[in-house]
Amino acid sequence: MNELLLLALAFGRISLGSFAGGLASIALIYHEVVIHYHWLSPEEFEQMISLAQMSPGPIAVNAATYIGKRLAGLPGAAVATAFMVGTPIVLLLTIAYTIKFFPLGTKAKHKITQSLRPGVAALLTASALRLFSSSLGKPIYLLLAPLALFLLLKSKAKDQPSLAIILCGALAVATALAARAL
Amino acid sequence: MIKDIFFLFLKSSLLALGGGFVFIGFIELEIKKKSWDSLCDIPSLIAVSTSLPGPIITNLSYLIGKSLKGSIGGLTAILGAILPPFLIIYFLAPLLMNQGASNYFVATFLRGGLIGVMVFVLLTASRWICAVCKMGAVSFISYVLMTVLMLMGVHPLFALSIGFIVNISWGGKRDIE
Repeated sequence: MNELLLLALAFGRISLGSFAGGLASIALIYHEVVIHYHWLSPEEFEQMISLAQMSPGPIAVNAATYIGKRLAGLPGAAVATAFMVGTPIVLLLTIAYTIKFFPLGTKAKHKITQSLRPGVAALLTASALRLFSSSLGKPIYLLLAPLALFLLLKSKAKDQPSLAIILCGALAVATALAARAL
Repeated sequence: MIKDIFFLFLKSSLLALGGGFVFIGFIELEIKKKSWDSLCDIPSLIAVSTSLPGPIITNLSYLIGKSLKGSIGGLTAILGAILPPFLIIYFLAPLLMNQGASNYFVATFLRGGLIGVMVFVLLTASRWICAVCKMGAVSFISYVLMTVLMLMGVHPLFALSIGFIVNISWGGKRDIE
């Protein structure tokens, strides 16, 4: 099948399942891109996620741009990004239109949001475990975890997660440099 | 106004590093600074953008842009918000990643960063898990079931739908606000 069509479908699905922001989408991206289509190796997936979280913009949109470009150049990047961003907007317009005819009470809306919560928790857990199992490939890096925990919870960088993540990368490089010098 | 919207979202997307929730805080302040907050009901737009699927940043950009200047405003806001990351990833990523495999330091940098991402996801997950624990047994069991299904390689969207049906039918006996 046409690569652009596959990209559109894959990122449309990822977008539909990404509730509560980008971090939950990691599990979905992994499923589509690594398990289902084999577009990226697990190794390249890790690198991409790391880079996507360091750079500005939603992590899932960054992933869409990256994978779209790898597969089909500029048209691929544009299509994947457009479907990642556009799917919820189309959904929103559809819901807004439907609600005109079948109004939802506050209670029903609350119930729907509540019922999605366990799913979001599951997506986040699955995402974290995927990243954890891939980090086991080079367990020495796990020594950075306490530092990351400190940066994200206690330091001034806690409101700037990207900064904390870049610092983790920088420390890894500094350690590697020091190890070489010795 | 269209131009203002475009540049406001361009700037916010570049400066608010770290995902949706950082962006929310940033844009709230910016809208107040421009005294556009009389034109749009920011708290309710935030509520809608976070309960929709998809990236929060672009959902919120669209909604704010739309309240300010209709559909054109919405599309302009999205364009402003995704242009910087699009260009950065488009031009920078291949440079880093193609040599990344061969360049030891780039690989080390990204691998170190990944530990940060993992801890960040774990922290966020733990907060959500705590909330789910308070929602009662059905919610918690469905959470465990969905996680196992996802890790077994079932499509997350499918697992999510099963969990949603279970929860909307039987879950959430003890509602929390």
